[in-house]
Amino acid sequence: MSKQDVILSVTDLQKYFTVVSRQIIGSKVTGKVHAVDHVDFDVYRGETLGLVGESGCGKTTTARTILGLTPASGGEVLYNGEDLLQIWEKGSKEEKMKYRRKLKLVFQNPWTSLNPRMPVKDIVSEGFNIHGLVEKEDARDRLYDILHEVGLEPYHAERFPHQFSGGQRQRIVIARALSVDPEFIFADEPVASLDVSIRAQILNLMTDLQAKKNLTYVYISHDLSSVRQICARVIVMYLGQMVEYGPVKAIFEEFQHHYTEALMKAIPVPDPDRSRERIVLWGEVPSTINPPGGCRFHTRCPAAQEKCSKEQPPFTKAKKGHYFACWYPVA
Amino acid sequence: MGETDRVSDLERRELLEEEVETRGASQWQLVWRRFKKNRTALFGAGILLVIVFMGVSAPFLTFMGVLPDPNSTIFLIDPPELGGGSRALPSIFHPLGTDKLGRDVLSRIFWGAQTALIVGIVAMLLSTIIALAVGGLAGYFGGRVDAGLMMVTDVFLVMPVFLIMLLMIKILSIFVVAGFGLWIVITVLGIFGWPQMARMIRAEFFKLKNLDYVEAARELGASNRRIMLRHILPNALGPIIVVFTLGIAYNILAEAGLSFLGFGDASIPSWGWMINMALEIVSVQPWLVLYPAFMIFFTVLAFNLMGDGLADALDPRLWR
Repeated sequence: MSKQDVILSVTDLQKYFTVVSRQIIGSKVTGKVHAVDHVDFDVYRGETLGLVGESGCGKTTTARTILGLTPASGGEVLYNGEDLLQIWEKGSKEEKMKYRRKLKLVFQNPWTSLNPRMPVKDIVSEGFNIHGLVEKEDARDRLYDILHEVGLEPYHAERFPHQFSGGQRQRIVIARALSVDPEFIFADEPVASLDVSIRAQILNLMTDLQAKKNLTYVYISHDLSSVRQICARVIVMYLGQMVEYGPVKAIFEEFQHHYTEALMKAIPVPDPDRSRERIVLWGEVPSTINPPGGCRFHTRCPAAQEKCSKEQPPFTKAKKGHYFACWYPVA
Repeated sequence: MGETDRVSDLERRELLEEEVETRGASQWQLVWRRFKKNRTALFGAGILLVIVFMGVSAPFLTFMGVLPDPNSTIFLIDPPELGGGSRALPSIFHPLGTDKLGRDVLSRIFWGAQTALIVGIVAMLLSTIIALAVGGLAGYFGGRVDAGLMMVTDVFLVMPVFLIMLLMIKILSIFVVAGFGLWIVITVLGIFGWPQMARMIRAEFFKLKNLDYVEAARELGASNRRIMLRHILPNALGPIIVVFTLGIAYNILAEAGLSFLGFGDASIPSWGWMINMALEIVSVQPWLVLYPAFMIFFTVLAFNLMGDGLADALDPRLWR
């Protein structure tokens, strides 16, 4: 693993949102939301990395921060050795455009991420037009090629988004991302809002494209079955922090962190007769405004002891490439 | 998808051409379909069509001799059996009679339609341009830009606009050559008519700029200009059109009011000015007030009905 080519290296990434209360004159900062709190990970070229966790744990914010859609509060993100956060903050327009092109985001909800007043041809060709990637006379061929790649027909180009089904819309969203020849794609729950029957189609499309174009994916999801299907490695996040990461097999079968265990045991089994042991977490996810000290999971952890609320557990190696942050691991 | 792979490029082109002809309804076709079902809105559109026809045909009808020149006082010296003279009763020569100066009232009503439409639409276009610039920038950029621009807007909203318009028209008339009086009125109406629309556009831009597809455009590397013009503005068009329609009605009323007070352009046939002149003799010949008053009433009604109908038709939540 470690000999592979690291394409994206995230070190100590932090993103805090300040909570502001308005005063008569000016405003006062009354707290901060720890959306992403000291996150480190590497992504290897050509792999699919899964990012899982429940809603609000910072998966999407991590992606948005790396993509420069929201400014980071701290940390370092190296993409092929270039410091992305610096580029987003004070890079030249050319530099920004270069990385806007190389890293792309596939949006979660195809119902809201397509401009309802634009025909598909404009949605898909906007990317290569902005970046000046093709000559005018080649634009139409290029458009048809991209549509073809995602399994759409040329006549779809003239239609508007509301004339498509959810699966087709997600194909358009993918086509838009592919239109600028990216290297790296953040897929933010690309199938979460689709019918189960359509999900497999879209996931297959994504893996086919990955093989064809040598793309690197970060696949953000809380749908663990699909993560298991397409990811090589998985990161589990809870309340803005990573709790466990490693190869997909290790995470699904030899999990060490109690949060991962709860997640895994919550996966539905398509067999009505099979009883399974479930771990029901009690309580609510604590607020990210004042996250609990020590291990963030200790308020809900079935194995929590006094130490958990006082000291934050460091990452411990379980085996090669598999790390977890827990004082009293599962196995 | 296996079938797709076998379709050659040529066949794909042919499919495309076929599809272009039979493709489904665009958003504007859907709007029209809904609008058609709304009877009151169609009624408004119908009245409007008549008024537009009157305004557009006035110069042609006059040129062809069907209508007399609206400013000609020549009928003053016509004998009464030819329908001439001052304040003549309706006759075949002057279907609505003549006014105090012996001018043909029907002709002035036709020409007045043109004046009303020009004032209403041009002044509203001017207001819309200002409102788009102010509201659009404030809503899109937010923060200090927003605070500053909205402060200006609020100042305009609290001013006694009508009085200031009267003052401005008086001052501007000193500098402007006679015959351009109407354009002073249009300019002043345009300059003061934008604040409400600017607030609406600001709210609309504020709402739209956080939507996923705008974020997607930003993520694609689109410039602010492109995002505003191609992604936000087309989606804000619905409410803008509604406010635009209602604003035209307001401007027509305002022009009539200004003319009525004697601040319009006397050299151009205007309904408001006609009321002003007819009012002096209202006890003798009240119908001279009624003709232009009815025209103003129906024009404003038509724009309002249409505006309401458009508001419903443009609301995608009501689409089926």
